[in-house]
Amino acid sequence: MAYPTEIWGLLGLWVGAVLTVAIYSYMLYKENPLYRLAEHIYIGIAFAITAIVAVQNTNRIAITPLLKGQYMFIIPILLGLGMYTVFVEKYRWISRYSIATLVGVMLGVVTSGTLVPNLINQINSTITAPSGSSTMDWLNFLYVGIGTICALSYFLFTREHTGVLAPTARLGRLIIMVGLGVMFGNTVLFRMSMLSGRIEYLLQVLKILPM
Amino acid sequence: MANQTIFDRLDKLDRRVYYWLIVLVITWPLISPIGLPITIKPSTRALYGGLQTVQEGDVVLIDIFMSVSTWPECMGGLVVETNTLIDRGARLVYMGNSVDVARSWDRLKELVPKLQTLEYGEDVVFLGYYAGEDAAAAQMAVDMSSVFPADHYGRPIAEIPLMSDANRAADFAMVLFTAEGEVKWIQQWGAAYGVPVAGMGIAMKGSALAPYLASGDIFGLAVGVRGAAELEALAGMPAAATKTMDAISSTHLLFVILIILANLPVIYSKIKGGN
Repeated sequence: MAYPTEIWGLLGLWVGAVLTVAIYSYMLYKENPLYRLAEHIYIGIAFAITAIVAVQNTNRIAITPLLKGQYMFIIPILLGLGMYTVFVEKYRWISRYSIATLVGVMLGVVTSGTLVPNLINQINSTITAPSGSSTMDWLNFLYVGIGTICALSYFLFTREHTGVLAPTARLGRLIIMVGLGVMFGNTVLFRMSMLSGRIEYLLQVLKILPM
Repeated sequence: MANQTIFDRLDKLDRRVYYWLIVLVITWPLISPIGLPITIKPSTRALYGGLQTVQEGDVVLIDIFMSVSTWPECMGGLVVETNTLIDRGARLVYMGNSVDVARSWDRLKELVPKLQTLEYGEDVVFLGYYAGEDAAAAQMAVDMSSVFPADHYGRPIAEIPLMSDANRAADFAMVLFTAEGEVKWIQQWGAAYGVPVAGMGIAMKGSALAPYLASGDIFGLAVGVRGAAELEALAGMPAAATKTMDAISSTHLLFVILIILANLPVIYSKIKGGN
């Protein structure tokens, strides 16, 4: 993508740069007018885009086929409209049918698909010894196996954590903390990637880096 | 004031100094890349190896579940995946669960000029946005046209030649997820129909996706910008992610130093016998 030369392209580029700086100004100068302005613009535009996409999607998937004679689509449209009765106290009961249908369908669809990958395969993977003789594979296998048992024992609330449960629950808590630490580390990596993306954009706008 | 140690002074330092330090450490490698080495993880190698198994004419579904803000994390990897699949002669079906998926698609076309050379409707299709998670994926597995009566540009799906060969899960050789939304493909396509699933997760998803990799529910995984840089290294096309990794590695080194510095006073006071 080349650096824009026409007025609207340049304007878009600079608006993006100014809003980026405005959002990051929160960290340096806390809640300030520039940040508030950028925040409100962002929320407004995000909602507008989401609303437009939702309307287009409903039109494409349900309304257009309905108008072409596929009358079955009246059912999801009515169920969808029923959701909005939640805002009218007198007719709120109608929304329960929509919510019940949604929950029922999701439960049915998810339950059938979730058992194998999320439960059976995970148990199999945890109790199956590695096929190779690599020391690292065996260490991983032992760490995951012991870690799973200890972390589960930490959540065993029907017995007091004394006797054999005391060290396992304590080790389980440590292993959970290690897991949370890894997740936090990954979160920091993600946030830094986003910051790096924004800084790169600013450098491109200032023509320090090519677009 | 005279009795203040270096730790006291660091403790009282304005936090904005640290923020500016982070900005500086990120900016410098972007302007002047350092070229730090990137080791390739087996999971990324498995993903790239899986892409190499695609045969000419195979149909691959690519779910762009990333918003514009996630481009620095995943766009680099998506570019490598797309280039590799085009080179393998695969036919590509793109879609996405993010409301700004069309913007990501436009950006991908800019970054992969080869996409423009493919015949739209025959070799590549962009179906656009879809709503819903498991329910949508489950429905696509049995009848893609019911979820997408038309593509993003409004062309009826019945008039798209590629989609006549790809209307259900069994017609696809592979599903690649991008950023998030992987669970529905694992549950509704991988587990239910045996379609190989792999992809790229944002860094935050790395530890959540690892068990699926260990259990074989996904055959490969690239995590975050690091995974994207690894893919670029495997494909021999260092680009944006490789450059970003210099900045990320430098920043993480700074974090490690700051964490050590922040903990030294505590250790020091404990050694001295204080609270």
